[in-house]
Amino acid sequence: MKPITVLYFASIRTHLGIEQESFPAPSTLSKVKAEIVSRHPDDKTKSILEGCMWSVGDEMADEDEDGDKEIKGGVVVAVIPPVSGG
Amino acid sequence: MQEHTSLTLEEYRRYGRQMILRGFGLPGQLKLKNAKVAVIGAGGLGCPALQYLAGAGVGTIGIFDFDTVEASNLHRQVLHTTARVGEYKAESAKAALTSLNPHITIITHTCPLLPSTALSLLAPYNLVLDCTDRPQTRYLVNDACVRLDVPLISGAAIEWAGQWCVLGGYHQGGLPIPAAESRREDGDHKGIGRATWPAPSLPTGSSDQMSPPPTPTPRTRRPCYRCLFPQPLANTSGNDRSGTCEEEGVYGPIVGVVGVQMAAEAIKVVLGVDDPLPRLNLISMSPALTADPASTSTPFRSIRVRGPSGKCKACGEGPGVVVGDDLEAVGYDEFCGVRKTYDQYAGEGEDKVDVMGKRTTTQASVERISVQGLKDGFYDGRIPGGYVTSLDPVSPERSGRSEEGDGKKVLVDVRAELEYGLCALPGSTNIPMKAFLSDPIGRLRSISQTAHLPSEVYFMCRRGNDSLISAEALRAALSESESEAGKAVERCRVKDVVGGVRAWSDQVDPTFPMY
Repeated sequence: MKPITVLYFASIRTHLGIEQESFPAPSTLSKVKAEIVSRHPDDKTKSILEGCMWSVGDEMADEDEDGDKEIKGGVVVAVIPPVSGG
Repeated sequence: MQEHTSLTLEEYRRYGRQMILRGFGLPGQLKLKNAKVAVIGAGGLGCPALQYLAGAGVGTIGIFDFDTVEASNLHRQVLHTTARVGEYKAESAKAALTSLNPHITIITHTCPLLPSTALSLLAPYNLVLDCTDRPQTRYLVNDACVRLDVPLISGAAIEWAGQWCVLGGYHQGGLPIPAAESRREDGDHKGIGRATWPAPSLPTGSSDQMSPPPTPTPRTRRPCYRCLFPQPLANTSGNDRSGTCEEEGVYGPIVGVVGVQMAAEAIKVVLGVDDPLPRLNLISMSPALTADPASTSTPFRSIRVRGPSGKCKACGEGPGVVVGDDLEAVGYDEFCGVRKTYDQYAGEGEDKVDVMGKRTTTQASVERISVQGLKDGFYDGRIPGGYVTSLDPVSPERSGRSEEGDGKKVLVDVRAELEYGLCALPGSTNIPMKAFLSDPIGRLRSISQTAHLPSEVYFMCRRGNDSLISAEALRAALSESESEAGKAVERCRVKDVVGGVRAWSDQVDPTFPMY
């Protein structure tokens, strides 16, 4: 099965120093999030992720409601931190 | 207020190239002329957004900005000029826009938008662009727009990345009559009502008296900023400026692109030809982070977001709604985790420093010293010449000994390597904060070049936040190793330089290049 691609935007991209990563499929948002933390086990990664929004495919996903829904291989997940500068 | 129903000959000539586009026409251009658009912030996002709104012929533009133009703004805030440094940004932007388009009305607001004033200041407008640079204002602007019932174009950018979206009001519903021109209902807070939306358009073509009356097309409400971002990003840096261009840096073109996109969305909202579904648009311009050809920077992504959230604390229906008539009760600073930091006191004298010292009573043994104290204690009262940059033949990664070379005093600069390379104090050693915090005592030993710890350690950074965090970490690590050993191991005085290199540049030596 094709992997799940996770795209990093804004502060999470700067902090991790990578644009994207692959994760094994199938998975769920909760699992992907936990795996990001275990690959990058520092406090700042954790705290940035706590404030992030998520998209699965082309749609925004709600961590509480959609956290355990299956994500198939080949799907693109984006990690979207709020940005406040301007 | 009187609606414009015609254009002058000059306006026909000026706007002709866009009036022949689908969605514009004469009705569209008149919608723009009748629109009253508030742009909050005339900075990186506001400048390009204002440029295109004014160019397109938005009839009334309110510019909100209480800040003044600084030289460090000019790489990205393209309406301002070198000659206008020191002027209010709102006035400077007005000067630029007036010369671009004399057919529009521009109103400047140079007072800050506060919970106590936001509703009355925004009531005359029927569309708002959030081009601000801090989360508490973002939530305030959103809540005011929800309360006034006007659409909001939200945009944000920092470093290499940005995002924007259209919020509030109705998809393809155009603009309402501003709250200030709407009929006030009894009991409205401070007499400020809500904007009035025109009735939904009726399907046309049916004049048959026998058929039932046509039903209005249902309108779809857009979500608000709190629906998308119910919580601000946690600020763990202990620095209230984190997330600002000053702290994080900003690539000029990113605010340009996001600001122009905001104007593009705003014009479509005015014309009623905006997206039928809510979307959040993300853009990144970051330099390639790897040489891997399979890696892509994915510069752009447009994501469908959900409609208004029932759980939303601003536009929702539930019991948790915090946004009502009284925005002063919302508590934006607390919500966004804003505290008073030493930073607001820096450079205001020793008394203020003492006040802030109380914040750190648990690590009371970190001494807070002024830049004058650094000059006296580390440089024996002399101003050291010849600041170090990364272009110097001698690497700034030097021994870290003070000029006496006794190794007993060290000056640790915890700024990032790149910033340290811009300009640094001679005799200082660069240990970026992240590296320092991972092993304070070990890092310190690595630069002292003797078996002993230095007798005095001075901490320095850009403004004094990171240096205090680092100094406290060292103090805590020393206390821990002392309690493990059961006695004082080595005497090491930990000193934090309040105000950092900025204060050095301001108060000791203006020839230190401040960035």
